[in-house]
Amino acid sequence: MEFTADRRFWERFQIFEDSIRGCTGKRVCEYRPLRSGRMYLKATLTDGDGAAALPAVFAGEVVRKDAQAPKLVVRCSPSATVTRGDSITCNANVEPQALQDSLRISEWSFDGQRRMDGDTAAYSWAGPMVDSGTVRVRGILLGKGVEDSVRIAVNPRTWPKVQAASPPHDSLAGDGKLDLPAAPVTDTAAAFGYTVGSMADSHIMRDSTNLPYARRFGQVKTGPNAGWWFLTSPVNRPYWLVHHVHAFETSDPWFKKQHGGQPGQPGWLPYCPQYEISLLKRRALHHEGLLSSPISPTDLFQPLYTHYTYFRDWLSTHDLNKLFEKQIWNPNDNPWGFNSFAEKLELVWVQEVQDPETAANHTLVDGSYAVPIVCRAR
Amino acid sequence: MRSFLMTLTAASILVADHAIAQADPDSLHLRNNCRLATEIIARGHPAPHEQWAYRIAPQCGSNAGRIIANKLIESRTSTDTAELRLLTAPAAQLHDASIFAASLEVAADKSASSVARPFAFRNLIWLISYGADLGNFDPWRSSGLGCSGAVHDRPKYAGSPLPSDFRDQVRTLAYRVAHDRSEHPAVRKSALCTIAYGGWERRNEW
Repeated sequence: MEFTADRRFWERFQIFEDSIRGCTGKRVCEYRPLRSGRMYLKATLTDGDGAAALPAVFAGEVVRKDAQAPKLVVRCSPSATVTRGDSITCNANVEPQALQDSLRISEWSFDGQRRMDGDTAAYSWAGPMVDSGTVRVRGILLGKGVEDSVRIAVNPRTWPKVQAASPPHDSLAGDGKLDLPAAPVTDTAAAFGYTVGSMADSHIMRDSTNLPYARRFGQVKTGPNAGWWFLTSPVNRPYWLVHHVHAFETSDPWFKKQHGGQPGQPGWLPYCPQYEISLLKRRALHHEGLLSSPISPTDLFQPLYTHYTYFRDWLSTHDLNKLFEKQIWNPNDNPWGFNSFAEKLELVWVQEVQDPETAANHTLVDGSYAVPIVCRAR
Repeated sequence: MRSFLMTLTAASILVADHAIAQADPDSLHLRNNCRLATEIIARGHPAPHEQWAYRIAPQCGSNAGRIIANKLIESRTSTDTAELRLLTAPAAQLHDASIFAASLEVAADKSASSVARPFAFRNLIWLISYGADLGNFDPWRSSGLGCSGAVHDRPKYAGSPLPSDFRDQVRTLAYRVAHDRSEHPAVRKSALCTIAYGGWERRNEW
């Protein structure tokens, strides 16, 4: 074999010992190493005139032909299977280990994206994992290009199923965005059965700054998923919001104006006496879900579902934590051009939660349990 | 004495089915109101009555639809959010081919303002989603997309019939704009919202 005088391989004298018997003093010596490794030679060089320099140490790599060629192996601990958000450390190792410092790292990558965080030439890469993928490392070992990869599997966290906040919020305690007028909006031209205004309504929470995922996400700073965003904690309980006009109150001028009687036009419903308005109020608020108690023992209108109870049951079959736990966003792989993780989460909220719940809720509750109207207002 | 219907609603109370409602076409009172409302909208005055006119407009069917559509085209370069919010409000209830065509045109028009185009997209969302509320629609300043919000039992009125492929037309436009990075962010956000309300993107593909 050839020895190199590369200073990088020079060793301190105290660890050098003559471990190969029978070779001392020989220019050529036959020796069969047990395994691959590094062989050292201490020698004194002379010039042509016989002048001797101080002894120097030379080193060379020995590779047994019958042994496995040195290779790069990447391993991740504690395991290649982790739970989302858990940290992982991937190490680039050389086998045999004795050649470890012969390795020069040229690139780490995760699913083809090159490492950008920390020391890109380090032997290790560590940080929280949020998405499954392949960690690959490339390097130069004994002058040759080498690479290895490992598949990282990220399992979802197990978060408790989200239940609806109870009781439903009313307009005064809700999102603060009242969307009903103080008194009913009415129109004298509308035919019975069709609505031109509102006295009560309800809907799933919709304040975008307070949606269940708000302020519950963060960005990974180091490791294969550096830069990625994910939810760091379970989502909040979503709530149901009920609005109703003040006109239901007995002190309201609109309420005071109501009294029974016949309108005079053929076919028109009678005017509402005040007790009927009060009954409508109870029915309406129950319909929205604000009143959980029975309307009255004698009232024939006893719906099985209210908008709130439907929403509550819908949540029991649509696990919001399961849906949002898996949401991640990599700004460097951003085909939709989102400006923030919040944008992506809002689309998920609209498409997977808000819109389907609203449509299904309406179909059942308004389709089967609409409040009967038996009179008209003045 | 002025009489009016007892109207319990938005979340539902009156209508047992969710078919599109139609105001009584024979109502003399409605015809008078609609004539007045469409004149006010067309002329833009008297200003104090504009709110009333736009509130009545959904019940006025295709007549109101044509006038609102014309105004929408005229306002395509406007940056007056209050004006555009008012002008597009009837589309929440009035499903009309003229409004649809004008909204599709403005939403697609790169020379239109980045205020008018999102409002045009909002009109399109109302056509494809039952429960989209969009009262707090704000793709310009929101840290998110500014389009979440649902409501029950918004009354709907029919104008001139929509083309049978109107959903496909909306979808095609929304995808094109959403993928065009040269579009104004508020316009792109509106297109993304449209896709979400259409329920068109497969789960977990965002």
